[in-house]
Amino acid sequence: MKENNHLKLPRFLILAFVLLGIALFACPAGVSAASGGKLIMATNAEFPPYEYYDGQDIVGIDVEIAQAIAEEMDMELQIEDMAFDAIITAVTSGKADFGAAGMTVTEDRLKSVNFSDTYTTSAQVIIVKEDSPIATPDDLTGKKIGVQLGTTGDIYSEDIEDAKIERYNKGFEAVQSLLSDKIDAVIIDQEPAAVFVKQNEGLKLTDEEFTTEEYALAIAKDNEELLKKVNTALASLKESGRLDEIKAKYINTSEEEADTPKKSGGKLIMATNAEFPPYEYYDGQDIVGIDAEIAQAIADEMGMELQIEDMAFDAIITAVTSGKADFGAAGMTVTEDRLKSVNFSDTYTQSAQVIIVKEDSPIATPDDLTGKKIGVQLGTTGDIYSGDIEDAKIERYNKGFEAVQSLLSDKIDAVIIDQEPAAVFVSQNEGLKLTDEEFTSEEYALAIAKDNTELLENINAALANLKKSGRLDEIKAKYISTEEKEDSDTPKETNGKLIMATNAEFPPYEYYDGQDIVGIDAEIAQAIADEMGMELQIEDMAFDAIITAVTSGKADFGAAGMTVTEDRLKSVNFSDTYTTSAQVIIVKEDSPIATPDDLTGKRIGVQLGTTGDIYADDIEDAHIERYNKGFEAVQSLLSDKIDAVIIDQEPAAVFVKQNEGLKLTDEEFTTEEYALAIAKDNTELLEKVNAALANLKESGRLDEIKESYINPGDEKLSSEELDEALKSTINTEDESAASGGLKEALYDNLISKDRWKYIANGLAVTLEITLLAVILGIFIGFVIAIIRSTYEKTGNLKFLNALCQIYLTVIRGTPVLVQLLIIYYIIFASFTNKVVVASLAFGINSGAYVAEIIRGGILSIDNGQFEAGRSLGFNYLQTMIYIILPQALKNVLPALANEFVVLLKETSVCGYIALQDLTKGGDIIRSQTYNAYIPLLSVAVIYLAMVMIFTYFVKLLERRLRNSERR
Amino acid sequence: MNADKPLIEIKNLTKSFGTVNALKNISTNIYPGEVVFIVGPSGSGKSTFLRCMNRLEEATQGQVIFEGTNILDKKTNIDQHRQKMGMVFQHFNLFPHLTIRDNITLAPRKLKGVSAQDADKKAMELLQRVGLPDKADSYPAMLSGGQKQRIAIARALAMNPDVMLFDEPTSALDPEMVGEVLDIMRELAKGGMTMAVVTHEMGFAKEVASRVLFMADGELLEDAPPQEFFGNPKNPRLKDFLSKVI
Repeated sequence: MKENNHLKLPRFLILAFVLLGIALFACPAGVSAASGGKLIMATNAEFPPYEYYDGQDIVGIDVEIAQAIAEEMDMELQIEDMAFDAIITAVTSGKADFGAAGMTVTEDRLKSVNFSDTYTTSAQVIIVKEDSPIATPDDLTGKKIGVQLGTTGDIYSEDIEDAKIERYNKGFEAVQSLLSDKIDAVIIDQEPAAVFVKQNEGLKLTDEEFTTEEYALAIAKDNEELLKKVNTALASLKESGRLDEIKAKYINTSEEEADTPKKSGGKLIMATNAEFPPYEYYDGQDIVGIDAEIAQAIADEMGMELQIEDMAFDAIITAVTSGKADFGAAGMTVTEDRLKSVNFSDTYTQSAQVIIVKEDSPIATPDDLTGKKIGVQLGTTGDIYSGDIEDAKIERYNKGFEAVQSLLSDKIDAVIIDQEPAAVFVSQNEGLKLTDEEFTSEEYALAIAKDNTELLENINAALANLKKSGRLDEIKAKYISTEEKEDSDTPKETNGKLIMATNAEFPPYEYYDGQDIVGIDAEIAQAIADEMGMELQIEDMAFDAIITAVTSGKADFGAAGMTVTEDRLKSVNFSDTYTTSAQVIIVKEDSPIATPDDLTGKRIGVQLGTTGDIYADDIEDAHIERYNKGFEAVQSLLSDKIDAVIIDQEPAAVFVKQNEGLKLTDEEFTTEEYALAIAKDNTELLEKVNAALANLKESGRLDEIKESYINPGDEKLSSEELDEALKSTINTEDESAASGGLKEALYDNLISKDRWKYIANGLAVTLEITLLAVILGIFIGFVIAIIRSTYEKTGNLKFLNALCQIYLTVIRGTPVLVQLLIIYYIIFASFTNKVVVASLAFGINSGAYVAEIIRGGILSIDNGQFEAGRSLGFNYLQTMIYIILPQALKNVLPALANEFVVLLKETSVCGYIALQDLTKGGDIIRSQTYNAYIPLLSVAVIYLAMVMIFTYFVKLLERRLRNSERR
Repeated sequence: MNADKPLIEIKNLTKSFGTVNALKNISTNIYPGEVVFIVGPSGSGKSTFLRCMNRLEEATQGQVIFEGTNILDKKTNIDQHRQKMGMVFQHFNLFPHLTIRDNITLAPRKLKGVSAQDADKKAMELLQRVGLPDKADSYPAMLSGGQKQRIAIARALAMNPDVMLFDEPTSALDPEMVGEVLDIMRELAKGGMTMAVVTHEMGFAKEVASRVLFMADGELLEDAPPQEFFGNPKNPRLKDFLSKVI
């Protein structure tokens, strides 16, 4: 009773928080604009050809599309021009009905608004040699990839596993490296790629694009009605071809048209060298890029017409000084030499690499770095440039702060790093300073003739305006960042069964209730399966195995409170979101951590592979501890091993309720949306799932399911699970009640709800796998040992021996867990009997060790035994079987028994392929009772008992075999 | 000496280990019932010669025609012919994991399909013959060297061989045990068993042999009946050898 009172207060508090949150969220929804016959579009009319001023009117692709949509909806379009970063606020506050401004769908934006279907697409593609095996982005794993420094390709290529990224200043340099086989592929924008492939024989584009960028319209979250209408209108525009017409009108003929309307203030001639993407490069016949757009924006500001002249880089300044061009814009750094010939405008982009040293360091300038040990962050500009320092020893760190730590402990002499983080490091660590002279600084400015100060002033004014309006950043962002999404159509059939992959350790979304997996996701999946007339089958596995299961076809979809992230979108498609949730921060009640910012430099626990894990990486200086399970992180928090846990809202609420002394911070860490993961090629299922989800939403069933778990579920959970958690807390805290507590803990963990069945069933699985694996291992081991020793004795079977050697090398050279995963996910990807797969994996693994053990045994037998057998008339194999092997086995029995003991215990990793063996059984109990002791110790005791029983029998056998040695 | 067809015809037998010629073009015949002793200094190639006869050692050239078949031919199933050629080793090579009974019965049961009962009966007869009937259920590790070698002879005899090859059967024995093994061999010879014996027991050779061969440096230098071999040696190497060993 006392305990219950204790717990009620926080529970009410949480309820209050939740209600408050809902109220806050709902607020803007209430104010939403009902614009009746008018459709208000927010835009930023500085982004041709999507939207720009033509005289007094705003025109462009977006405008025309919006107009067409308004027509479809029979409404009147009204356009509001504003700063780009004001558009989303305008939409959320109801000042505008939607935003249309060449806007890419990003996660951040999705937190504030919904997006319509996309209406235009541009892609990053992969160039390879014609004979290259690379066909899809996935094939890039482990390859050498050329990108152009600072482009979208550069940014995204970082995420390719094991790939070695070569950064080139110019696209064609990357292509040249590709042609001379120095790299395997080039990732680059679609348009220049087309030119490169056309101009160079032997190159091709892969069928599948690397990423695609998509523009969509932003619509307030609460305005689903408008979203539907807009999407319908867009669909019919696409169907009718009107959309393509609009785009064609602006993109193909734009040169002609753009030239004609503007004659206002004469011509502004820009000299450039169009070989320096993303600053300037050819896109088809046009020179485009950051510089070109900035120049265009400047020309617009000045009311002049821009004309771009392409020339050699070193001819640009001469062109400016001689008056052939008004200004030069070519990613040009301000240098003293150039300042002698021309003036430079204010810089429009800049970045510096600086040097951090200890305060007493003699290093004062970049020149002092010669011969020193220098720490850099892998892949940064500092890394690239530090290669040029003479005699320097470069240490590459994954993270900047690691380099700084090495500096502090005198392992290195200096750290070269970006200006901004450097400032933070220096302010946070006493004894560090920046050298006065920066390592490099890149500042780009426009070159203008010395005598043309009027133009200089005009340009600087225009630049200032562009900076103020955010247009400058927007231009840069356009060339330097993107979104992506992919599709391919190979629909897949499932025969009446719909297999869902989940990780049943994430209440209330999915967890074990007795022997069944229940929860919001499970019910939603069931409802979807019902809608589709299919039978739902739920597979429990590690969270980070879910996406692999979906991509490899082991599961039809993944549902595990899974957030849509960019990385995941590379592997799978996501359905429409079915619920929105937040990542929150759990801390101890007396913790000083109150906001996400306070996490800097702290030890943070996350669940491996969850959103929290992904985002926590961005926390500066934080030490991230990754746990397989959320409750393990909470346990670590309770025992002060970590300072905070970042985890999903709902389980967090449960954890906080069940554990005294914990609280949530007021501010959430992030908010996110859950969706179902579906294989990329299974668009049919995606559509069906989305349709089913839509039905569930409409009918209110979705909300019903969620409510049944999240609101009244609180009571349901607490009455039983809470008591258990309480009891386990008492056990650990109240030592005087230890004996009674132990009894209860044993009851809760093993007897209550038949939990012992997890262990019993798990034991059966473990024994089954071990037995099958031992049989297979002995078989493989004998065959290979005989082949190998035959080769060694007689020189026969050379080829088979070579095969055996390869097998032994590969199997003994790789971890059994990796082999298990390879066999499950790659070799037997379509085979679903996991016990058989695991037995195969462990048997094949064990076979290699058994083979060598037996071979050793065979070699230990005197050759006279062999000769005696042969001289009696036994053939080779008979001699082996009747005479050599019985003796060899006796000699290697201890080693062989040892191998089988290892095998028995090794099977405990089969939980990785979501097999519920003994270890996993204990884990499931642990995830339900939040008690680590009883389940883990029970499992350990059972393993120990099995090994002891086995060892006893081996000893008996050994004694029997030693009979012949008695004298 | 004998008008019968030879049991083993050895023609131009040559064996080289790399550049070393262990056997140089040896030819001789062994007739049924003959007891041929092979003597000579260490490293003369006599063991190699014996082991080439049942192909435990692969000859480089030449033929060994056993009961009409060239058993050195790769196409010959050597395992079948070895069943007819019993072999006794210097180090006995009993199977330590098997009882004495099983040592003797293993080959007849597995190779000839003799029933366990018949094999046991035969084993007991043989054990009787070598004077060790009480050792049937012992393991080799429990026997003395002489007993082991008597069992090894019994094991070879269990296959009813047409010829017995002895490779220095007494060399690894303590002196007091040599006699019991030689007794068995003497009995065998008297019983008409064809035998080829590599040994250093000159007295035993003189007593039992029907013919003695002398080998040195891989060559067959003398081939004579024992009286002539020991009484009137012709080859100077043999004379030298005999002067040292007798």
